[in-house]
Amino acid sequence: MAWERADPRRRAEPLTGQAPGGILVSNALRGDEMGQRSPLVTLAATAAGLVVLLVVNSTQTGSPTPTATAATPTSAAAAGPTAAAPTAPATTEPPASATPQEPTRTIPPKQQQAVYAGRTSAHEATVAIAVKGARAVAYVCDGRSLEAWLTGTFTSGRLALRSRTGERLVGTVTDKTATGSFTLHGRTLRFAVGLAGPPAGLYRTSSKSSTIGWIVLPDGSQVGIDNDGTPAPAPRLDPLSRVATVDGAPVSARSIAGDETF
Amino acid sequence: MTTVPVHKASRIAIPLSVGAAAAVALGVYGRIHDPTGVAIDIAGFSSFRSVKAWLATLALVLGLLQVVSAMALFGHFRALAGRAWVGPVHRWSGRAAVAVTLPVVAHCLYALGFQYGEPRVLIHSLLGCFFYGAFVVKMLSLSRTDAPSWLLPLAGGAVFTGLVGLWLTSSLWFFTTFGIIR
Repeated sequence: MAWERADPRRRAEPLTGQAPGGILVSNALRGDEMGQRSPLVTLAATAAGLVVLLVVNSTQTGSPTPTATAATPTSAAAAGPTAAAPTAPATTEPPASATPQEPTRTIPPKQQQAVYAGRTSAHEATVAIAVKGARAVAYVCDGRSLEAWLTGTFTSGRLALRSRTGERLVGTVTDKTATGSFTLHGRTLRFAVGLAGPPAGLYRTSSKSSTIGWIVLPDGSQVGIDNDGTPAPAPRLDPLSRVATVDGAPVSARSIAGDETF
Repeated sequence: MTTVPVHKASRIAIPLSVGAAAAVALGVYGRIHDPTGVAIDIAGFSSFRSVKAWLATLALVLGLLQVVSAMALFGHFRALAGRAWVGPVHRWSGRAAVAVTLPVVAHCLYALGFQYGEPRVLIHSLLGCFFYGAFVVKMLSLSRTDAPSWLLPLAGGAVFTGLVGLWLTSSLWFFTTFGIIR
Protein backbone atom coordinates (compact mmCIF):
# COMPACT_ATOMS: atom_id res chain seq x y z
CA MET A 1 0.00 0.00 0.00
CA ALA A 2 1.81 3.03 -1.27
CA TRP A 3 -0.08 5.58 0.82
CA GLU A 4 1.20 3.98 3.98
CA ARG A 5 4.74 4.13 2.71
CA ALA A 6 4.27 7.80 2.09
CA ASP A 7 3.89 8.31 5.80
CA PRO A 8 6.91 6.85 7.56
CA ARG A 9 5.36 7.31 11.00
CA ARG A 10 2.86 4.58 10.25
CA ARG A 11 3.79 0.96 10.42
CA ALA A 12 2.95 -1.02 7.31
CA GLU A 13 0.09 -3.23 8.39
CA PRO A 14 -2.70 -4.78 6.39
CA LEU A 15 -5.58 -2.34 6.27
CA THR A 16 -8.08 -5.10 6.55
CA GLY A 17 -6.63 -6.15 9.90
CA GLN A 18 -8.33 -5.73 13.23
CA ALA A 19 -7.79 -2.67 15.38
CA PRO A 20 -4.55 -1.26 13.90
CA GLY A 21 -5.96 -1.07 10.40
CA GLY A 22 -9.05 0.64 11.68
CA ILE A 23 -7.00 3.16 13.58
CA LEU A 24 -4.82 3.89 10.56
CA VAL A 25 -7.85 4.58 8.45
CA SER A 26 -9.40 6.58 11.27
CA ASN A 27 -6.31 8.75 11.42
CA ALA A 28 -6.46 9.37 7.71
CA LEU A 29 -10.17 10.18 7.85
CA ARG A 30 -9.86 12.32 10.91
CA GLY A 31 -7.09 14.44 9.59
CA ASP A 32 -3.94 15.21 11.44
CA GLU A 33 -4.53 18.90 11.82
CA MET A 34 -7.03 18.57 14.62
CA GLY A 35 -6.46 15.04 15.76
CA GLN A 36 -9.29 13.27 17.44
CA ARG A 37 -11.48 16.31 17.90
CA SER A 38 -12.03 17.06 14.23
CA PRO A 39 -15.14 14.87 13.85
CA LEU A 40 -16.54 16.30 17.06
CA VAL A 41 -16.06 19.80 15.71
CA THR A 42 -17.83 18.75 12.51
CA LEU A 43 -20.65 17.29 14.59
CA ALA A 44 -20.96 20.41 16.74
CA ALA A 45 -20.90 22.65 13.66
CA THR A 46 -23.64 20.53 12.06
CA ALA A 47 -25.82 20.72 15.16
CA ALA A 48 -25.24 24.46 15.48
CA GLY A 49 -26.05 24.95 11.80
CA LEU A 50 -29.32 23.09 12.18
CA VAL A 51 -30.33 25.10 15.23
CA VAL A 52 -29.47 28.37 13.48
CA LEU A 53 -31.55 27.39 10.44
CA LEU A 54 -34.52 26.45 12.60
CA VAL A 55 -34.29 29.75 14.48
CA VAL A 56 -33.99 31.67 11.20
CA ASN A 57 -37.01 29.80 9.91
CA SER A 58 -39.06 30.63 12.96
CA THR A 59 -38.18 34.32 12.76
CA GLN A 60 -38.73 34.55 9.01
CA THR A 61 -42.09 32.88 8.63
CA GLY A 62 -44.34 35.31 10.42
CA SER A 63 -44.13 34.05 13.97
CA PRO A 64 -43.26 36.85 16.35
CA THR A 65 -40.80 34.81 18.43
CA PRO A 66 -39.56 31.24 18.34
CA THR A 67 -40.94 30.68 21.82
CA ALA A 68 -44.40 31.73 20.74
CA THR A 69 -44.30 29.20 17.91
CA ALA A 70 -43.13 26.53 20.25
CA ALA A 71 -45.68 27.30 22.92
CA THR A 72 -48.88 27.39 20.90
CA PRO A 73 -48.43 24.25 18.84
CA THR A 74 -47.20 22.18 21.75
CA SER A 75 -50.36 22.77 23.67
CA ALA A 76 -52.47 22.33 20.56
CA ALA A 77 -50.62 19.23 19.46
CA ALA A 78 -50.54 17.72 22.91
CA ALA A 79 -54.19 18.37 23.59
CA GLY A 80 -55.25 17.30 20.13
CA PRO A 81 -57.93 18.87 17.99
CA THR A 82 -60.80 17.12 19.70
CA ALA A 83 -59.68 18.07 23.17
CA ALA A 84 -59.10 21.64 22.09
CA ALA A 85 -62.50 21.84 20.45
CA PRO A 86 -64.49 22.95 23.50
CA THR A 87 -62.27 26.00 24.01
CA ALA A 88 -62.73 27.11 20.43
CA PRO A 89 -65.67 29.36 19.71
CA ALA A 90 -68.24 27.02 18.24
CA THR A 91 -69.81 28.39 15.12
CA THR A 92 -71.29 25.29 13.68
CA GLU A 93 -72.55 23.57 16.79
CA PRO A 94 -74.35 24.78 19.90
CA PRO A 95 -71.69 25.52 22.53
CA ALA A 96 -73.50 23.68 25.31
CA SER A 97 -72.62 20.21 24.18
CA ALA A 98 -72.00 17.63 26.85
CA THR A 99 -69.79 15.38 24.76
CA PRO A 100 -67.22 17.41 22.87
CA GLN A 101 -66.34 14.61 20.46
CA GLU A 102 -69.80 14.25 19.01
CA PRO A 103 -70.05 17.42 16.94
CA THR A 104 -66.80 16.62 15.17
CA ARG A 105 -67.78 13.09 14.34
CA THR A 106 -71.23 13.37 12.80
CA ILE A 107 -73.13 15.95 10.83
CA PRO A 108 -76.17 17.12 12.71
CA PRO A 109 -78.90 16.17 10.25
CA LYS A 110 -80.99 19.27 10.83
CA GLN A 111 -78.19 21.69 10.12
CA GLN A 112 -76.43 19.80 7.30
CA GLN A 113 -73.28 21.66 8.06
CA ALA A 114 -69.73 20.37 8.09
CA VAL A 115 -66.18 21.20 7.11
CA TYR A 116 -63.87 18.70 5.45
CA ALA A 117 -60.15 19.32 5.14
CA GLY A 118 -57.01 17.50 4.08
CA ARG A 119 -54.34 17.21 1.45
CA THR A 120 -54.82 16.21 -2.15
CA SER A 121 -53.90 12.63 -2.98
CA ALA A 122 -50.45 13.48 -4.29
CA HIS A 123 -49.97 16.21 -1.66
CA GLU A 124 -49.83 19.00 -4.22
CA ALA A 125 -52.17 21.19 -2.20
CA THR A 126 -54.56 21.32 0.71
CA VAL A 127 -58.33 21.35 0.30
CA ALA A 128 -61.04 22.53 2.66
CA ILE A 129 -64.73 22.23 1.86
CA ALA A 130 -67.42 23.82 4.00
CA VAL A 131 -70.94 22.58 3.41
CA LYS A 132 -74.05 24.29 4.78
CA GLY A 133 -77.52 23.40 3.61
CA ALA A 134 -77.53 23.40 -0.17
CA ARG A 135 -74.47 25.63 -0.47
CA ALA A 136 -70.78 24.89 -0.26
CA VAL A 137 -67.51 26.79 -0.24
CA ALA A 138 -64.15 25.26 -1.01
CA TYR A 139 -60.63 26.58 -0.74
CA VAL A 140 -57.66 24.94 -2.41
CA CYS A 141 -54.22 26.21 -1.55
CA ASP A 142 -50.62 25.05 -1.56
CA GLY A 143 -49.37 27.54 1.03
CA ARG A 144 -47.04 29.24 -1.44
CA SER A 145 -48.52 30.51 -4.64
CA LEU A 146 -51.51 28.47 -5.74
CA GLU A 147 -54.96 29.15 -4.38
CA ALA A 148 -58.60 29.12 -5.41
CA TRP A 149 -61.81 30.07 -3.67
CA LEU A 150 -64.78 28.17 -5.05
CA THR A 151 -68.47 28.44 -4.32
CA GLY A 152 -71.42 26.43 -5.54
CA THR A 153 -74.14 23.99 -4.74
CA PHE A 154 -74.46 20.89 -2.63
CA THR A 155 -77.40 18.75 -3.65
CA SER A 156 -78.07 15.13 -2.71
CA GLY A 157 -74.52 14.54 -1.61
CA ARG A 158 -72.85 16.04 -4.66
CA LEU A 159 -70.67 19.11 -4.82
CA ALA A 160 -70.42 21.34 -7.89
CA LEU A 161 -68.26 24.39 -7.27
CA ARG A 162 -66.60 27.02 -9.41
CA SER A 163 -64.19 29.83 -8.80
CA ARG A 164 -64.33 33.27 -10.38
CA THR A 165 -61.24 32.41 -12.36
CA GLY A 166 -62.63 29.22 -13.83
CA GLU A 167 -61.34 26.44 -11.61
CA ARG A 168 -63.84 23.69 -10.89
CA LEU A 169 -64.32 21.30 -8.06
CA VAL A 170 -66.68 18.34 -8.12
CA GLY A 171 -67.11 15.68 -5.51
CA THR A 172 -69.29 13.65 -3.25
CA VAL A 173 -69.78 14.08 0.46
CA THR A 174 -70.59 11.46 3.06
CA ASP A 175 -70.81 11.75 6.84
CA LYS A 176 -67.08 11.44 7.32
CA THR A 177 -65.34 12.17 4.03
CA ALA A 178 -65.43 14.33 0.95
CA THR A 179 -63.90 12.93 -2.23
CA GLY A 180 -63.56 14.42 -5.65
CA SER A 181 -61.32 16.35 -7.95
CA PHE A 182 -60.23 19.90 -8.55
CA THR A 183 -59.34 21.12 -12.01
CA LEU A 184 -56.99 24.00 -12.57
CA HIS A 185 -55.40 25.01 -15.86
CA GLY A 186 -56.23 21.59 -17.30
CA ARG A 187 -54.60 19.78 -14.42
CA THR A 188 -56.67 17.61 -12.10
CA LEU A 189 -55.89 17.17 -8.45
CA ARG A 190 -57.77 14.38 -6.70
CA PHE A 191 -58.61 14.42 -3.06
CA ALA A 192 -60.23 12.35 -0.33
CA VAL A 193 -60.42 14.42 2.83
CA GLY A 194 -61.95 13.83 6.22
CA LEU A 195 -64.27 15.72 8.51
CA ALA A 196 -62.51 18.53 10.36
CA GLY A 197 -63.96 19.84 13.61
CA PRO A 198 -62.88 23.08 15.26
CA PRO A 199 -60.28 24.42 15.62
CA ALA A 200 -59.57 22.69 12.32
CA GLY A 201 -61.46 24.26 9.48
CA LEU A 202 -61.48 26.97 6.87
CA TYR A 203 -60.76 30.60 7.78
CA ARG A 204 -60.78 33.76 5.74
CA THR A 205 -60.23 37.43 6.11
CA SER A 206 -60.49 40.05 3.44
CA SER A 207 -59.77 43.72 3.19
CA LYS A 208 -59.88 46.13 0.27
CA SER A 209 -56.42 45.19 -0.83
CA SER A 210 -56.01 41.55 0.06
CA THR A 211 -57.69 38.28 0.94
CA ILE A 212 -56.14 35.69 3.20
CA GLY A 213 -57.32 32.13 3.43
CA TRP A 214 -56.21 29.49 5.91
CA ILE A 215 -56.90 25.80 6.16
CA VAL A 216 -56.28 24.37 9.61
CA LEU A 217 -56.02 20.59 9.50
CA PRO A 218 -57.13 18.22 12.27
CA ASP A 219 -53.48 17.48 13.12
CA GLY A 220 -52.99 21.16 13.95
CA SER A 221 -50.98 22.04 10.86
CA GLN A 222 -52.11 24.89 8.67
CA VAL A 223 -51.56 26.33 5.23
CA GLY A 224 -52.63 29.68 3.96
CA ILE A 225 -52.13 32.27 1.29
CA ASP A 226 -52.15 36.03 1.54
CA ASN A 227 -53.26 37.34 -1.83
CA ASP A 228 -52.97 41.05 -2.54
CA GLY A 229 -52.71 40.46 -6.27
CA THR A 230 -49.61 38.36 -5.81
CA PRO A 231 -50.18 35.18 -3.78
CA ALA A 232 -47.75 34.70 -0.92
CA PRO A 233 -47.59 32.42 2.13
CA ALA A 234 -49.98 33.65 4.80
CA PRO A 235 -48.82 34.59 8.28
CA ARG A 236 -49.65 32.08 10.96
CA LEU A 237 -53.22 32.10 12.23
CA ASP A 238 -53.84 31.26 15.84
CA PRO A 239 -56.67 28.78 15.34
CA LEU A 240 -58.11 29.33 18.81
CA SER A 241 -58.27 33.13 18.82
CA ARG A 242 -58.45 33.29 14.98
CA VAL A 243 -56.06 36.19 14.97
CA ALA A 244 -53.09 36.60 12.67
CA THR A 245 -50.51 39.35 12.57
CA VAL A 246 -50.39 41.01 9.15
CA ASP A 247 -47.78 43.74 8.67
CA GLY A 248 -47.55 44.14 12.42
CA ALA A 249 -51.29 44.58 12.99
CA PRO A 250 -53.61 41.91 14.35
CA VAL A 251 -56.24 40.75 11.87
CA SER A 252 -59.10 38.50 12.83
CA ALA A 253 -60.37 35.85 10.50
CA ARG A 254 -63.82 34.34 10.32
CA SER A 255 -64.66 30.71 10.06
CA ILE A 256 -66.24 29.77 6.75
CA ALA A 257 -69.51 27.93 7.26
CA GLY A 258 -70.36 27.08 3.66
CA ASP A 259 -73.16 29.48 2.65
CA GLU A 260 -70.96 32.51 1.98
CA THR A 261 -70.54 34.12 -1.40
CA PHE A 262 -67.47 36.04 -2.48
CA MET B 1 -11.31 -7.89 35.32
CA THR B 2 -14.89 -6.77 35.16
CA THR B 3 -13.97 -3.43 33.61
CA VAL B 4 -12.74 -5.02 30.38
CA PRO B 5 -16.14 -6.16 29.08
CA VAL B 6 -17.65 -2.88 30.23
CA HIS B 7 -15.04 -0.95 28.29
CA LYS B 8 -15.50 -3.25 25.29
CA ALA B 9 -19.23 -2.66 25.38
CA SER B 10 -18.99 1.09 25.93
CA ARG B 11 -16.75 1.72 22.95
CA ILE B 12 -19.62 0.57 20.74
CA ALA B 13 -22.55 1.40 22.99
CA ILE B 14 -21.67 5.06 23.54
CA PRO B 15 -21.59 6.08 19.86
CA LEU B 16 -24.63 3.95 19.09
CA SER B 17 -26.72 5.25 21.97
CA VAL B 18 -25.83 8.89 21.32
CA GLY B 19 -26.73 8.37 17.66
CA ALA B 20 -30.01 6.72 18.61
CA ALA B 21 -30.79 9.59 20.96
CA ALA B 22 -30.13 12.10 18.17
CA ALA B 23 -32.44 10.19 15.80
CA VAL B 24 -35.20 10.01 18.39
CA ALA B 25 -34.79 13.69 19.28
CA LEU B 26 -35.23 14.70 15.63
CA GLY B 27 -38.31 12.51 15.29
CA VAL B 28 -39.86 13.85 18.48
CA TYR B 29 -39.17 17.44 17.42
CA GLY B 30 -40.69 16.72 14.00
CA ARG B 31 -43.77 15.34 15.68
CA ILE B 32 -44.44 17.90 18.39
CA HIS B 33 -43.43 21.00 16.46
CA ASP B 34 -46.47 22.32 14.66
CA PRO B 35 -45.63 22.17 10.94
CA THR B 36 -45.97 25.60 9.46
CA GLY B 37 -46.17 24.60 5.82
CA VAL B 38 -43.91 27.51 4.94
CA ALA B 39 -40.29 28.33 5.52
CA ILE B 40 -37.64 30.71 4.23
CA ASP B 41 -37.29 30.90 0.50
CA ILE B 42 -34.16 30.68 -1.60
CA ALA B 43 -33.99 32.89 -4.66
CA GLY B 44 -33.68 31.38 -8.09
CA PHE B 45 -35.93 28.40 -7.58
CA SER B 46 -39.61 27.98 -8.26
CA SER B 47 -40.31 26.62 -4.81
CA PHE B 48 -38.52 25.46 -1.73
CA ARG B 49 -39.43 21.90 -2.61
CA SER B 50 -37.37 22.13 -5.78
CA VAL B 51 -34.53 23.69 -3.79
CA LYS B 52 -34.68 20.70 -1.49
CA ALA B 53 -34.79 18.22 -4.36
CA TRP B 54 -31.66 19.77 -5.87
CA LEU B 55 -29.77 20.10 -2.59
CA ALA B 56 -30.54 16.45 -1.80
CA THR B 57 -29.25 15.51 -5.26
CA LEU B 58 -26.05 17.44 -4.58
CA ALA B 59 -25.73 15.66 -1.23
CA LEU B 60 -26.17 12.32 -2.99
CA VAL B 61 -23.38 13.13 -5.46
CA LEU B 62 -21.11 14.14 -2.58
CA GLY B 63 -22.19 10.96 -0.80
CA LEU B 64 -21.04 8.89 -3.76
CA LEU B 65 -17.71 10.70 -3.58
CA GLN B 66 -17.64 9.78 0.12
CA VAL B 67 -18.03 6.10 -0.64
CA VAL B 68 -15.35 6.15 -3.34
CA SER B 69 -12.86 8.12 -1.24
CA ALA B 70 -13.55 5.93 1.80
CA MET B 71 -12.88 2.82 -0.28
CA ALA B 72 -9.66 4.42 -1.47
CA LEU B 73 -8.64 5.11 2.13
CA PHE B 74 -9.28 1.48 2.98
CA GLY B 75 -6.96 0.52 0.12
CA HIS B 76 -9.49 -0.79 -2.37
CA PHE B 77 -8.24 1.25 -5.32
CA ARG B 78 -4.66 0.69 -6.37
CA ALA B 79 -4.73 3.78 -8.58
CA LEU B 80 -5.55 6.04 -5.62
CA ALA B 81 -3.18 4.37 -3.18
CA GLY B 82 -0.74 6.77 -1.59
CA ARG B 83 -2.46 9.93 -2.71
CA ALA B 84 -2.26 12.33 0.20
CA TRP B 85 -5.29 14.31 -0.97
CA VAL B 86 -7.73 11.42 -0.60
CA GLY B 87 -8.10 11.99 3.15
CA PRO B 88 -8.84 15.73 2.90
CA VAL B 89 -11.17 15.08 -0.05
CA HIS B 90 -13.08 12.56 2.04
CA ARG B 91 -13.31 14.85 5.04
CA TRP B 92 -14.30 17.99 3.17
CA SER B 93 -16.73 16.34 0.78
CA GLY B 94 -18.39 14.79 3.82
CA ARG B 95 -18.64 18.13 5.58
CA ALA B 96 -20.02 19.69 2.41
CA ALA B 97 -22.54 16.86 2.01
CA VAL B 98 -23.83 17.32 5.54
CA ALA B 99 -23.85 21.10 5.14
CA VAL B 100 -26.08 20.98 2.06
CA THR B 101 -28.52 18.66 3.83
CA LEU B 102 -28.99 21.18 6.66
CA PRO B 103 -31.33 23.61 4.84
CA VAL B 104 -33.27 20.56 3.65
CA VAL B 105 -33.72 19.03 7.08
CA ALA B 106 -34.49 22.42 8.60
CA HIS B 107 -37.32 22.84 6.10
CA CYS B 108 -38.49 19.26 6.60
CA LEU B 109 -38.58 19.61 10.37
CA TYR B 110 -39.93 23.13 10.50
CA ALA B 111 -42.44 23.24 7.68
CA LEU B 112 -43.51 19.61 7.34
CA GLY B 113 -42.62 17.64 10.48
CA PHE B 114 -42.62 13.90 11.01
CA GLN B 115 -45.54 12.56 8.98
CA TYR B 116 -46.80 9.09 8.20
CA GLY B 117 -49.83 9.63 5.97
CA GLU B 118 -48.50 7.38 3.22
CA PRO B 119 -45.68 4.81 2.96
CA ARG B 120 -43.29 7.07 1.07
CA VAL B 121 -43.68 9.82 3.64
CA LEU B 122 -43.34 7.44 6.58
CA ILE B 123 -40.18 5.86 5.13
CA HIS B 124 -38.78 9.30 4.39
CA SER B 125 -39.48 10.56 7.91
CA LEU B 126 -37.90 7.47 9.50
CA LEU B 127 -34.86 7.61 7.20
CA GLY B 128 -34.37 11.29 7.93
CA CYS B 129 -34.04 10.55 11.64
CA PHE B 130 -31.92 7.47 10.91
CA PHE B 131 -29.54 9.41 8.63
CA TYR B 132 -28.58 11.96 11.27
CA GLY B 133 -28.42 9.29 13.95
CA ALA B 134 -25.99 7.29 11.80
CA PHE B 135 -24.03 10.46 11.08
CA VAL B 136 -23.63 11.07 14.83
CA VAL B 137 -22.48 7.45 15.28
CA LYS B 138 -19.94 7.87 12.51
CA MET B 139 -18.52 11.13 13.87
CA LEU B 140 -18.29 9.67 17.38
CA SER B 141 -16.70 6.42 16.25
CA LEU B 142 -14.10 8.44 14.32
CA SER B 143 -13.18 10.33 17.45
CA ARG B 144 -12.56 7.15 19.46
CA THR B 145 -9.32 5.29 18.93
CA ASP B 146 -10.72 2.28 20.80
CA ALA B 147 -13.69 1.72 18.50
CA PRO B 148 -13.67 -1.64 16.71
CA SER B 149 -12.49 -1.45 13.12
CA TRP B 150 -15.84 -2.54 11.69
CA LEU B 151 -17.82 0.24 13.36
CA LEU B 152 -16.61 3.05 11.09
CA PRO B 153 -17.37 1.38 7.73
CA LEU B 154 -20.69 0.16 9.13
CA ALA B 155 -21.67 3.64 10.31
CA GLY B 156 -20.49 5.21 7.07
CA GLY B 157 -22.43 2.64 5.07
CA ALA B 158 -25.51 3.33 7.17
CA VAL B 159 -25.22 7.07 6.53
CA PHE B 160 -24.91 6.49 2.79
CA THR B 161 -27.79 3.99 2.74
CA GLY B 162 -29.94 6.50 4.59
CA LEU B 163 -29.01 9.23 2.12
CA VAL B 164 -29.87 7.08 -0.90
CA GLY B 165 -33.21 6.13 0.67
CA LEU B 166 -33.97 9.76 1.48
CA TRP B 167 -33.14 10.82 -2.07
CA LEU B 168 -35.32 8.09 -3.58
CA THR B 169 -38.29 8.99 -1.39
CA SER B 170 -38.00 12.74 -1.97
CA SER B 171 -35.98 14.03 -4.90
CA LEU B 172 -36.64 11.14 -7.27
CA TRP B 173 -40.32 11.24 -6.32
CA PHE B 174 -40.33 15.02 -6.83
CA PHE B 175 -38.60 14.87 -10.22
CA THR B 176 -40.83 12.06 -11.48
CA THR B 177 -43.99 13.75 -10.19
CA PHE B 178 -43.34 17.34 -11.19
CA GLY B 179 -40.59 16.95 -13.78
CA ILE B 180 -37.03 18.20 -13.57
CA ILE B 181 -37.78 21.78 -12.61
CA ARG B 182 -35.59 24.38 -11.06
